[in-house]
Formats: sequence, structure tokens, C-alpha cells
Amino acid sequence: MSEQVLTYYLYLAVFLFSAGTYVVLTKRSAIFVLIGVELMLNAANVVLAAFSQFDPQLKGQVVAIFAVVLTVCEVSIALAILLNIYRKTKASNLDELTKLGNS
Amino acid sequence: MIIAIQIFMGLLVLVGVLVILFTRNIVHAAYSLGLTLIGIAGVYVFLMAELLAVVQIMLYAGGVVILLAFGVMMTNRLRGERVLSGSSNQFGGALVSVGLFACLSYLISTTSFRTLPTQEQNQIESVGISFLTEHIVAFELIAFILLVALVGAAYLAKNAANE
Repeated sequence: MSEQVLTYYLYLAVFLFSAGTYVVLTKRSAIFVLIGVELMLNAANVVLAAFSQFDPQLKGQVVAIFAVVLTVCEVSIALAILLNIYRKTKASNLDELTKLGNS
Repeated sequence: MIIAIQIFMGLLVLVGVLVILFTRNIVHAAYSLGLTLIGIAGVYVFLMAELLAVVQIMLYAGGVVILLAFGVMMTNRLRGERVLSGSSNQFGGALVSVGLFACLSYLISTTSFRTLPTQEQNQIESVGISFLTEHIVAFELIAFILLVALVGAAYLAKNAANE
């Protein structure tokens, strides 16, 4: 794999990461923010996979698979929490969530 | 030919991300996230990480996207309102993300990566062996965490449904 191909994948990962940052910072729906977090995590995984093919022990791929499993846990818990918040406050917009507790 | 398919996978990712950036509809965003994740799985195939590509398609494109679509249907759709999302801080967000892109691209373009020879081995076999020998503690721990997280998510969702 030549240096150009490696930098092509690195630019792809940088694009994914900055797009995820934009989505997290600007969108107001909680599910949209989760989508942005997914994009950022995938950018990290692309970098890990791109560099791990020069490693005889493939440690990058192992870490990337662990990261994918942890992301699935994170999304399922986050959606359950969102469902709870929605049942209690009828709000799915992050700007409307300004109170703690039962009030 | 291989270069063309690599560029096609990159374009798949690019189009999916651009749809996510410029749409206001959450359902469209969830499904173009699926498109993006399938494109990233293709990228993994070209990086010779076949196991990672299969895990990506099964867990992300099959699991996370469906979960997100269910999340949309269980929240906004229950009231029959349209599933649109507003935006705020657009100028600041664009400034931060374009600045991040510029800084990281500058760093990549000024670094010279002297690449080593690519490993042409059976990658699935060596990943499996390193899962069960060197990383056995992390492997068992992550299986336990997955179980606990899924049971916890089901419990939280059940409490929400009862009220």
C-alpha cells in the first residue's frame, strides 16, 4: 500500500470526524447528536484499521472491534435513556431539557 | 479497477455524510448513516480487515441503524409530528469543524508516512488467535459488558413503557 492510498484513507477519516463534530454541535435533536457521535467513532475506527495493516500483530483491528462492540452498548443505553426522558417530559429536543428531577 | 472501486466506496461515504449534514429529516439522516456505514465496511475490505467489515455490517448497518430508526418512531412519531430537527449555532459549529478539518489535513499533508510492507497473512485467523490469547481478559470483559448493557437497556425501556 503506497503512501498516497494511506493518506486518502486518513483524509476520509478526517472528513468523517469533522462532519461528526458539526452534527454534534449544531443539530438539536438527540437522535441526530447520536448519529454525529457514530460518525466520529467510525472515523477513529478507519484510522485504526488503516494503520493496523502494517502491524504483524494487527492490534489496531482488535481495538477497532472492541470499539464497535462498545458503541453498540452505548447506543442501546442512550436510546433507552432518551425513551425515558421522552415519556417524562415529552421533549426530544435537547434545548428543552433544562430541568433536573421530577419537576 | 481496484482504485475505481476504492474511490466509489469513498464517494458512498461522502454522499451519506453530506446528506446527514444538510438534511433536517431525522429518518433520512438515519438511513444515510446506514449508507455511510456500508461504505466504511467497503473501505475496511480494501484495508484487508475482512472481519472488521463483517462486524461493521452486522452490528452497525444491521443493529445501530435499526435502533436509531426505532428511536425516532418511539419518540417524535408517537405524537404524529413531523420528524424534523432544527439547527442552532450553525456559524460556530461550521467554524469549529472546518477548523478541525483544516488543522488535521495540514498535519497529514506535512507528515511523510514511510510505509512498511503490508501484511499479507490470513488476518481473520491472527485476529481470532490474539482475541483468545493476548486479549482474553478484554474479550471476556466486553462480552460481559455487552450483556449487562443490553439487559440494562431493556430494563430502562420497560420502566418507560409502564408509566
